[in-house]
Amino acid sequence: MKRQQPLHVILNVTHRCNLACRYCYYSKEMATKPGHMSLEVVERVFESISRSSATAVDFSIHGGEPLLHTPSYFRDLFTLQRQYLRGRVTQNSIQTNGTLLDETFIAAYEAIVGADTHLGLGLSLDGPQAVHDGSRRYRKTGGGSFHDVMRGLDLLHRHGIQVAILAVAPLPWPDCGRDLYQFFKALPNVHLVDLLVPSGDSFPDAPEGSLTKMYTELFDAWFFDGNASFEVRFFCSIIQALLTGSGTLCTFQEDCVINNIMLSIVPDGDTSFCDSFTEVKLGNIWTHSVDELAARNHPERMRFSVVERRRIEACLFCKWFNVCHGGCPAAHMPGSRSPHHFCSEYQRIFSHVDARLREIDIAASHGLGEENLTRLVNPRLSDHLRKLRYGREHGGHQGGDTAGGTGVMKQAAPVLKSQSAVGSLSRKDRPATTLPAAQPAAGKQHIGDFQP
Amino acid sequence: MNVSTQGLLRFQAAGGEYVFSGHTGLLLRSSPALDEALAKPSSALEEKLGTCLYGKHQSQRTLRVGASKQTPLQNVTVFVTNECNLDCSYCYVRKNGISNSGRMSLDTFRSAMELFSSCFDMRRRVNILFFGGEPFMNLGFLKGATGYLDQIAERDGTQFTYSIVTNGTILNQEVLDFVVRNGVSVVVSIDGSEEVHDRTRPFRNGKGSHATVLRNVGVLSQYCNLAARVTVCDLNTDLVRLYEDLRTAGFWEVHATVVSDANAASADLEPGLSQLRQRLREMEDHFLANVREKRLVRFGHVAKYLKLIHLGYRSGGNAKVLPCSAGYSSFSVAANGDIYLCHRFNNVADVRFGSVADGLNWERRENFLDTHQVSARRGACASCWAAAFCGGTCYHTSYAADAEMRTVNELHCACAREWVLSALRVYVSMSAEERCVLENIG
Repeated sequence: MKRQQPLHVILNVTHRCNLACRYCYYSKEMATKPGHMSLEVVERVFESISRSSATAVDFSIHGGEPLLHTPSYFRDLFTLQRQYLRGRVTQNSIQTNGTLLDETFIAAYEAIVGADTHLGLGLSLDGPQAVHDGSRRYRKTGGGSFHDVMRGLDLLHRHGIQVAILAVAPLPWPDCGRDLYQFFKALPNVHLVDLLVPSGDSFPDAPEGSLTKMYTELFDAWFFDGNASFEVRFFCSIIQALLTGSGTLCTFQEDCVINNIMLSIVPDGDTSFCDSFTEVKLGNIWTHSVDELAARNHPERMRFSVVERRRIEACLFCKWFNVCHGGCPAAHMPGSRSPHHFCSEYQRIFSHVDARLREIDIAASHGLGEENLTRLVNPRLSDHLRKLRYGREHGGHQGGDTAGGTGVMKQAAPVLKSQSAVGSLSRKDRPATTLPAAQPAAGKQHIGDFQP
Repeated sequence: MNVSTQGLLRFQAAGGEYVFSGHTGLLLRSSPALDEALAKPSSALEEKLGTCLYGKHQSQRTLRVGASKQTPLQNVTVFVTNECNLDCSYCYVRKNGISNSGRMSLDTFRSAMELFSSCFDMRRRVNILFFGGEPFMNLGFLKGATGYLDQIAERDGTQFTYSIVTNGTILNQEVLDFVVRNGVSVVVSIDGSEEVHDRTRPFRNGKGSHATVLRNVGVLSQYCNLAARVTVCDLNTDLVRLYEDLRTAGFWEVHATVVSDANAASADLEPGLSQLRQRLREMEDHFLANVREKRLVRFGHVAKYLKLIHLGYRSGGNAKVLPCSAGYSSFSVAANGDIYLCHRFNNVADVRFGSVADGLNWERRENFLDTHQVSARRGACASCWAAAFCGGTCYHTSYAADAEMRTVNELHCACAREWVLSALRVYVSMSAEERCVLENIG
């Protein structure tokens, strides 16, 4: 069958980086297999995709730090892409730490976009200087990278280039939610913020509840902002899931390795299904076709899926299952019965978002309907959900991130599910606890008491 | 004591007494006020009670058999081969006198699929169930069939899913590749402990097959979620032990059915049922203890029944009017290209609904479906509180007992009611938070 959703390919174009961030999930892989990805490997990837059944492909140019390559590398990369994948729907994003942005890269970027290639930029920036430099330091000197990132951001702004910000939640500052929001809002050229949950052992000293405090405060600042200038993907995904039964983030996808087909390719062509699980090898781009590597029923995907089912067994008893589906498997701590390091914090965050939606009378039964969307204050949130609805109604490529480039981090296409009531939002739709006036065919069973 | 009158069931569980309406799916806590209203309904209560407890009567739930091309095809059971390397005590292939040499050809299969494609709506998901005999004894056919359906999927947009019922004794790299690459749902027939299994399911040379099956299950379970299909010959089977042993062996879920030809219409059913009741009580406790640990026991139809209790009958959508989809949206294709109600009837002329050569016999199919709905079964189905769950006993259990399909196999009927009652007892014992699981499982 023809592939329904876009294939997501992460090209890890280098395993070198000029920074050494404290929470880097990729440092081991970089140390084991150092080096750049040659254009021969890149060409092989494009050529194999051109022979595959994939009709739409989202590329994330990742690393390491991609901008350690010369600007001509990117020109050549996209020339090859146009050459091999003409006629297919392609989207691209480069994920950079922003320290190496300069005029020569901007010139290359503008030439690539000018040649009708969709290319977004994602920039890693955790927040104000104290927050950012606490985690994101130079490998050689140990100094903070904040000033260089801001210089790069300013350069992009002067050229009118929009970016998506990728921030890892700075847990040592749990009270910074509102300040963090204001900081990002003050940046002139940001259309999206992706607030990532750090891996479990990144901030061992952060007290329990830090994530909840930071996220709920930031959520309130964003959710009630009538002049919001960007989407926050994590929150958009939660709200989408509460209203439709499934979210967008790959970390919220049920059985992600089967339902969200991704290929993470490293410089030597070895391919895994996720850059958090590079140790699981699907094959190598020189010896396996993209169709083989991307097969839903690849033995390694099937094996992983069997293990996943067991990890999320307890999640089936959770009222928020339809929001996170157990969360990212990479956040599971070996030996723990808890499916996700931040499980209890996630539940509190979901509960907070759910309560806010109910406060303004948003009903899950109305899904993405205008009855709900007109109640939202934040224009970027309602626009996002409208685009999503349009995408669903017209069965096209997903609508959330099409304008202005994306800083896509392993982002999944939405699963086209029928709308269903979910979580506590549907409570009001359930029959009353006393003898209901109608048979329970319309809702869920509540054991009734007979009251004449 | 459980009293069932007019489609209502009164039962005790979790320290309370409840009334369940088989008509509407409503559950009520028992109370003096309810008892009084049920005993002497006043005219004021009549309407309220009538709607809530009696709503739509089973006999009003009927299925209108759609015309050609309107029914979505759900399942095609393909009788891959009659050959088998086992010699099971209850094998109906042998009992029904089905020849032991038939092998389906790819040409027959292709013609059958073309016929179904011209007769039914195949725009959505269609499951192909490979059956036998032992289907892995004809692996070449299986590979050819899935290869052919890949082309049909590409051409018509049909999404094919595959399942296979195997005895689990045949596994090599080629078989494993086939299963994994095609995402086949594997159902392994296994009868529990080594002692029981080796008695009912020996190899042709008389040697037990249990050890071989378990070895293969260990390998397969790394790649897919295996289902065990257990044929229960003894109603006193320790269900908890059976389930846990099979889970330990690597199975993800366990389905148990009482042996098809077990019928004791003339004998006293009560001693056996009493044993089953006790075993079900143990299973209920086990189920609830696991729920408290946030683990779902995937045994029998319990989860499915609980879901139906929880979500209601959805205006009749989920209430069963037939025991299964056989003849309506599911068919069996025999090795010679004949089309039957289901694989258990692959040589019974009354339910031969046509053939690859002659096309589908619409009249016979429609007549069968009209006369075998739960409201028309020769038994107490029309007023039974469990009818929406069971839809009438399996045609084959009736046929095995009475040589006809409209009757009700009394033992199977009684067992079905015990299973549903068991689910009701579990349901009222679960907390509202725990019932969340019923909304999250497929």
